Amino acid sequence: MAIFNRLPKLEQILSVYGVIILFTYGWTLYRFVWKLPSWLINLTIKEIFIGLCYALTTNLFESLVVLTIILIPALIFPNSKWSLEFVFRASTFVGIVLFTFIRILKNDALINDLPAYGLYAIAATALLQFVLIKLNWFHNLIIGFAERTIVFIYFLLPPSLVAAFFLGIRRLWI
Amino acid sequence: MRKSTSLNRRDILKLGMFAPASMMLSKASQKIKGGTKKLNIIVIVLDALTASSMSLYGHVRQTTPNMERFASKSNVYHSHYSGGTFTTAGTSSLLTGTYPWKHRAINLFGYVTEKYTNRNIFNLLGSEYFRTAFTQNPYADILLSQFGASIDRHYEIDSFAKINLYSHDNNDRVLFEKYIYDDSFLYAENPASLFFGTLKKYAYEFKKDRLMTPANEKIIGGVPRLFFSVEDVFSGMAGEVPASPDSSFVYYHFYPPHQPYIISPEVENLFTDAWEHVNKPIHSLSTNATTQEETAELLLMYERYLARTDMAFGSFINHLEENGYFENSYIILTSDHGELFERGAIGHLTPLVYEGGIHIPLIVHSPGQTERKNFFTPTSAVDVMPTLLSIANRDIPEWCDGQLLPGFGGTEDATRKIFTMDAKLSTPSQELKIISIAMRQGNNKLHYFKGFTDYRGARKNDSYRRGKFELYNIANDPHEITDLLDSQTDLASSMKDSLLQAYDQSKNFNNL
Repeated sequence: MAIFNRLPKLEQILSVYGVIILFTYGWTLYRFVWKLPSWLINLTIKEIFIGLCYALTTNLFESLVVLTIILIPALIFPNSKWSLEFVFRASTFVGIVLFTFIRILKNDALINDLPAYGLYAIAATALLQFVLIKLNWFHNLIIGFAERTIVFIYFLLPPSLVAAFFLGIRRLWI
Repeated sequence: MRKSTSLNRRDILKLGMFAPASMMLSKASQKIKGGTKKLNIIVIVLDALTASSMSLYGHVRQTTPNMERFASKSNVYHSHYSGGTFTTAGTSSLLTGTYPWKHRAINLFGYVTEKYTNRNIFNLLGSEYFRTAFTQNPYADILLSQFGASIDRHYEIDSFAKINLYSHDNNDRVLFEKYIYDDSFLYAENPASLFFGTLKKYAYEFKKDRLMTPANEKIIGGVPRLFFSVEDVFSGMAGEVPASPDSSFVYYHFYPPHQPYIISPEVENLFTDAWEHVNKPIHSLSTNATTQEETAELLLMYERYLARTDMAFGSFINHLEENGYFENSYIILTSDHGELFERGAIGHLTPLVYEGGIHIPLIVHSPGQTERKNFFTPTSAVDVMPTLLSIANRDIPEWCDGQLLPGFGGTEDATRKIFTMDAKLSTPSQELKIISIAMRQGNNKLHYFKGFTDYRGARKNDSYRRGKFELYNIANDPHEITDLLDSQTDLASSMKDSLLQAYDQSKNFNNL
């Protein structure tokens, strides 16, 4: 279909999706491990497993939502600089925005300034890309890193799909 | 051929002969119907309401004038104790008539064991009653969801509220899982969902800031996840009471005066007196270690919020009185647990079992009652369910730990042992290894702490792990200052034996 031709190549999308998964799943697993000791006291293994299923399913959906947001500019402007240097630009943007989210979540006082931090993140991304894209080693570093994050898709996507399926079936039965 | 249905003069005369008999039969049938018709039962729970801060129970600040007005036509129980120290355990004891070591709803977000799913007041009253339930407390809502099969109308926790960040699909049987998910992944101090959680947290802050301005209300003790106007919820739910048909059982569990304390302009200048609460030493198991000044300030805020809650309760009771519910209903006011402001512990997430945390109100109005009656012997939250079953002419199950309240067929038994316990750090399906228990018998109260290692003071004192007792005489020492354990050795020994015997029985989980 013509509309899909406007999208970046599949390998490029997967590279960026890998970075998204690294941040979203990484944060959740960090929180999961942080909660686990108290859950082991209060919950059964079955309940912890179900909690993990909810976590993976949530991560699956939120990573897809973030990816969709990233792809929309490419879809609208297929020949823009965003699309032409999709992996570099999208990966740095995702990295900066999601890292900002982590900073905000780590400091409650910052939550009210989320829109301002969002703008700072976009400005920082633009500035970085304008300046750093010219540095070959940095460009290659980001591209290489993004390509290597694809491994997380193989690790995390299948269990997430199983978890979502399991919860879906469970909802039908209970 | 179609038969005519019109009446001729002869038919009318025949019918006239039966008219007096039919009128008599009609009256008799009404009498029978009236005899079997049940009176309404309305249970009002105010969360985290400690008797220690209520003027009704002798507190010097006039915090509860409307509850005193209600008490003037009711039975007032002066030594009433919760089953647990926080919502899950306390509410479960109230609704199941059993102590926490039986129902095992002992953890935050906990629920009763499968065996107790049908052992609750809703189920035991049966479908003859139209049973409605409402709570604003998510922990209590888990329990109501668990008992959902026996509840005819279960209101959402955000009924008449402005913002809700909890899951509120309370007919969902997998609600508990959703709570874990919600609490940990969508909204918490650090939500585990990076993208959705951050956006949801921001959306909440955005809405909250627009609903609350500093000039309007002051919030003490954290941002509420369920934001509501106290007055709106009480008046809204009062309006829901008449909607129930006759023979109804109504369970309303309101969040106030639970933390956070929401201070409105009407109460922000109350209690600017010179009264000072008793200074008590910091306890080894205290969680907050707050100073005397901080404690006094938080207590003042709690009592102002309580005064606000009392005003809303007054309007609620006025509504019931104006609509005749004082004549055809039993109305019960109580709490699920108290609130501590002493020894460095604030609130109720503490293993301490001092009076402030577990001594709660119980006021029971009977239909048509016009005078106040006082009862001073100790009673427990586990007594409420059997008393209500007795009122409804139901059998009291043998597994129930409670007994009939004095004034409703029960006797004032000063030798009876009343238990309150906290085991939120224990595993529900095993022996309760980390536990604190209070046992009240007559005027004496024994505290028992076991299995505690992580608290600051417990690290220095190994007896909190091995088992430590404290003994007080509540009549002579209501503030529990003087530990009588070493001076009243015979009494201490006898009470220790009783408490340990009860604790040992609780160890065998499968037989409970």
